[in-house]
Amino acid sequence: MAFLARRIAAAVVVIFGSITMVFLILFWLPGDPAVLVAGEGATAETIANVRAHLGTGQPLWAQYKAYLAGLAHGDLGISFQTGEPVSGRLMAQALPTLELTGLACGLALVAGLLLGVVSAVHRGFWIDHAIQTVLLLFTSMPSFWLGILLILVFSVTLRWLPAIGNGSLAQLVLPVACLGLAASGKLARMVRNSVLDVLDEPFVTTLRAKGLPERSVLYRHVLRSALIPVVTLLGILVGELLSGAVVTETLFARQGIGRILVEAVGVKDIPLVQAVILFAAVFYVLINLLVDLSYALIDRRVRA
Amino acid sequence: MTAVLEIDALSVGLEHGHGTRVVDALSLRIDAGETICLVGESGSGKTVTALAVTRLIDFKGGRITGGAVRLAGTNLAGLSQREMNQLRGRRIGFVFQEPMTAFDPLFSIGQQIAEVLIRHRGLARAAARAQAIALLRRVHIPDPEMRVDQHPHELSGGLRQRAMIAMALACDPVLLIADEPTTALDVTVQAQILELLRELQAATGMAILLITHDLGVAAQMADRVAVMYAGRIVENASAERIFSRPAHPYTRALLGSLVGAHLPAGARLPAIGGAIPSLAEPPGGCRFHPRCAHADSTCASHAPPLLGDDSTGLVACWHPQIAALPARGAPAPAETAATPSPALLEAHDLHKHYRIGFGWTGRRLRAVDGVSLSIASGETFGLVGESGCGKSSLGRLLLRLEPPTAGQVRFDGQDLAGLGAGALRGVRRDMQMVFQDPYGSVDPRSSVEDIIAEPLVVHARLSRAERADRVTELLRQVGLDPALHTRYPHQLSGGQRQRVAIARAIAPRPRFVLLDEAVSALDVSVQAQVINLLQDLRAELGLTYLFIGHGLHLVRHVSHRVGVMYLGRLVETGPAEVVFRAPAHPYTRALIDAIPHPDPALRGAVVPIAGDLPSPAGVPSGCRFHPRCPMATRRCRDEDPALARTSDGREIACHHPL
Amino acid sequence: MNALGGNIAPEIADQGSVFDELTPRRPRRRLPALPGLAILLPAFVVLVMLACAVVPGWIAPFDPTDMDSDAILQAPGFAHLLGTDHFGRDILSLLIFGARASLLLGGCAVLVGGIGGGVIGLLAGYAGRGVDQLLMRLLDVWMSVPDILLAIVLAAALGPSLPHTILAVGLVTIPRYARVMRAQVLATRSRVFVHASRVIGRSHAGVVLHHVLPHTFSVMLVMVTLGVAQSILIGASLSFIGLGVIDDRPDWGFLLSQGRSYLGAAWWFATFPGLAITALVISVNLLGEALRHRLDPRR
Repeated sequence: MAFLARRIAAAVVVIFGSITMVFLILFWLPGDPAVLVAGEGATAETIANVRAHLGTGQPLWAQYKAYLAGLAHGDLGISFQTGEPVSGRLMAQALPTLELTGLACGLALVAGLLLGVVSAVHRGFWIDHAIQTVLLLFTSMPSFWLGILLILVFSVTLRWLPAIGNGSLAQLVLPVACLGLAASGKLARMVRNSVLDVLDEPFVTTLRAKGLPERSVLYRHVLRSALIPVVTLLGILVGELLSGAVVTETLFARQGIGRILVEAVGVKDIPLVQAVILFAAVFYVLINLLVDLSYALIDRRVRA
Repeated sequence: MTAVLEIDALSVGLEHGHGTRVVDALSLRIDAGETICLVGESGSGKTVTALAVTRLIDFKGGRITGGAVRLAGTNLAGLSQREMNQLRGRRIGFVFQEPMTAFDPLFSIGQQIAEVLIRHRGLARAAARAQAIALLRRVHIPDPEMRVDQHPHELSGGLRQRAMIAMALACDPVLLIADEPTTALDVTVQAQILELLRELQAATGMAILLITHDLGVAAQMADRVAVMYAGRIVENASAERIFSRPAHPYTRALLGSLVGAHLPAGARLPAIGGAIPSLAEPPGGCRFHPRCAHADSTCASHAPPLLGDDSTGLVACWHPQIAALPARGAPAPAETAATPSPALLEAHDLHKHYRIGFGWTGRRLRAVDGVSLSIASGETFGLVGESGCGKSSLGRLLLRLEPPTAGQVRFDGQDLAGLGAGALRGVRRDMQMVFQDPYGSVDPRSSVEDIIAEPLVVHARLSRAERADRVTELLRQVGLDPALHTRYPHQLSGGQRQRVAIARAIAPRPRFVLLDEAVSALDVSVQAQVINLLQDLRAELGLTYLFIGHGLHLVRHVSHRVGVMYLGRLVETGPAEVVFRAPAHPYTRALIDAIPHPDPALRGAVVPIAGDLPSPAGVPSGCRFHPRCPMATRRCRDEDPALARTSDGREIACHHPL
Repeated sequence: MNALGGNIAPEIADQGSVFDELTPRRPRRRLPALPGLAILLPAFVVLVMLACAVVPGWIAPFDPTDMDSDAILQAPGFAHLLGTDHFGRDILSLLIFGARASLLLGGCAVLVGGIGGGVIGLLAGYAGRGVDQLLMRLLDVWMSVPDILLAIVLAAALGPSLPHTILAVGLVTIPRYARVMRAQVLATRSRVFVHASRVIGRSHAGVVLHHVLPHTFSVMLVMVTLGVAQSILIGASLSFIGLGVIDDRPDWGFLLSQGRSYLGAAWWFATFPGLAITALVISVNLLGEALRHRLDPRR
């Protein structure tokens, strides 16, 4: 399975690369975290002490090495803000985000596949036009505006669902709907295009020449071929969802890595920022790796 | 004799058409056990007819606008698609041209064949699979138990086509429609498939509607031949009659422009002037009249009906011809050997290997594996071979478009390897190329003027006016109207585009032109025109040609010397006439024998050689041809024969030359 | 010449034409096509927005900084067509003045992304082999962080100003342009006419300039047009989170974030800025699709 080894090696390289990239970006973050941590009215001496303690005065290469060394031991660093290890906070916040992203992914998949397939199969009829209009809206409106509209309708006016908060299932509905529907638009479009492309392929003519009923041609053959390239979209979908999660968490005042990222950036809590980005990157790369592997499993031609 | 299929004044148009008739009042009848070949060039409407008969045309934006198609009494034109689904695959089998794209890549061959059986015969999965294996065996696919679970991309072209035939015949249809079933295959494989079809027909008694542009194939397979031109049948007669005494001027001209052994090498091919009309605006009256030497005012105004009877044949012409065609028997006398000229292009032991896969684990694809040849100034050297033999790779190496893995190329004595980019560009001026694909080899966004002027821009220091003048001159030289210089490629026909490509090639006044399958993608009538043009240019401009092709007749016709390639090596070279009339290498003989002759009397005379072409990544040991050679001995398997020179100026690589 | 003196060789257009028309199945029932409306309406919207960006003072009824303490959080009505915010500012005027930020962001960010991505894609696609592998790995790393997250980090690292935000959004979108450009260059490079040009003797630079680049124009043009829409959305997201530019001409995303707090009391505060963003993005998307349709190689 040389293929497997190659893909894993590539994934590792990419993760390594993204750690480095983020590190470099943050190194050039303006403002001195030592000042912030030391607090108001601190003396230059105090600040210098804090800086030495945080290790931010050192040259780039030294800081980088220290960071990598820490990572190798599973140590993600100490938060500038709280003085606590970052990993604890990260894990606690990661769960709500994964919960939100996971459910939204499910919704996006279901909605996207359904809308895309129906639209493609009935190309040109009114239902296709209707779906395409809806998809255009979903992909054009900012996800947070969709969320606001949902809140306005379901929370403020109808009072069916809560607008903010973390705890209950009911509080998940609107955020998941907001994130999932916005992402489903892009997916549905790609599904539609893929199905239409496959319908034009020569083997579809052969299937009809064999006397297979149109229903069988469609569902047994065309969809299977059309959905294969869509598998690769799952990776991109997850990326979009992670991005969208940041905004959604802010909008619905939920716990999650998006919220703490924005916070951390504001107070220049570099280790926390690095940890969040690292988490997102690793997650994204792993998902894509899984997607590539399953693609190879499904489409034998890739393996040949 | 009851008719299996009766097409009665069928007209086919576009779904949202504006009265355009792609097929116009076509009538045809096929009896049980009979093979009818529907012959025509591109744009004749033959594929559309096949699709219309099966009502598949509805899925392609067309529809039947008139007439009837009766399959054992039922009019297919009036049925719904659901009703047609009962007939397709069960009573009508369809074989397509490209087996690779015709199969669903995600399902195994067995599953796809079983699908037909489950659908129409109601078999259970296990029974259907067993039946599929039996069907694969029936079409002579070796090791069917293993093949049945393989996917389409795992089979070679020939095996895939056999599998497609098996699938089409799964439910014992009364009619098999085969649309150019062998066009995409190599000639030796084609011969096998045609023989398979004959065998199956004899066994089942089904009727075959075979669509092809190749008159040789028609001669080998047909009981009757129907010739189509611009959406109409112009002649429909028995095979014997069509090939000996065709009545319609188009049929006569078509047969006349075929290259064959009866024409002296280098002679002008009798070509049909003009171009195939567009079906959007066909000529009035008889559609062939603008190109017909016998046309008069009646022909221009009134469309001739298809008249005649079964014994004499049907023809749609106001002036049917009665004379027999000249016999194609005696081969022309061999050309005397020309005085030897200095070698212009030489290759010494060229190798080109590609590595597939990574690192040492990858296999090596030996595209060119030790080729040496020399082309004299003013000569045409023909290179033939089937797919995967490496002739195109060799061409690229000779032009130094790719560096060889080993070996040398010398142009006019100069070693091309040692040249830097600037010096190489200078040499490029002398070595030009014409490609196979007239559609792809010119930039669709450039005008004809820009296309032809490009070499002048790169090499010559001319002013814009001087360039324009030269372009005009070149257009005239290739037989095109200079006013075309403002047009874009998509506005020209295939033949015109290829002429533009030729003009571009001769623009920098080269000494050597590589013609890489330059006429293979053109219609037969257009091929003849372009071949004549190439011959004229060679004489006028003193060019040297390397003519790469897979049609042995054509290559023989234009070449002084030929070389035959197999799996990256030259197996035989020599004067064209000699190699052709008395081939020494078994492969050359097999190639010549496999070509379908446009003469029904020669049907089934030769047994095609077995086996598929091996891939250049898995070259057999010893003599490469030994697994397929009817005369192979132990020595052939162990020892690789070198190319040895013989007394009459030939080179042969064989332990047991004929 | 035949007996009638007719022309034997009328050079007629491309043979394939009729068969090209026998293409994918057309639907049985078609809705009446409204090509005019589909282009005119979005074009009109975009022009109006452009006008707002260029000469907001002529269009807006009020000065956006004008705070009328008597009219705080007033519902849409005759005086204030779209209502007022929590400072008493007229929302319609705020929107009009906020157009500049969005359009500038969208327009300039695609320039950064398009040019940067275009160059990378061209290099990767044409040079092939090692260079391509290297650049693709680089792009992989670039894309490994989801776009808004990366934009957040970049925006924070660069600092809060409009040019910096433009740069951040532009940088984040480079990989998608690079990918598309690379794909197009790869497809064109393998076409026979490029090969033919090399045979004629053109240098690589000549081939790229005369043959490869012209074939990338239409694809990239469509990408850039659609990219304007994407950039506006990313920019709005950044503003919404609070990382955008904050000045006295707040952009639409920022307004939305403010309006969020008053959803219960003043629905108009959050609705109209979002509507403005959506209208602009839909219009740009529709224009991009129309462009793609027109430029489709289906001559």
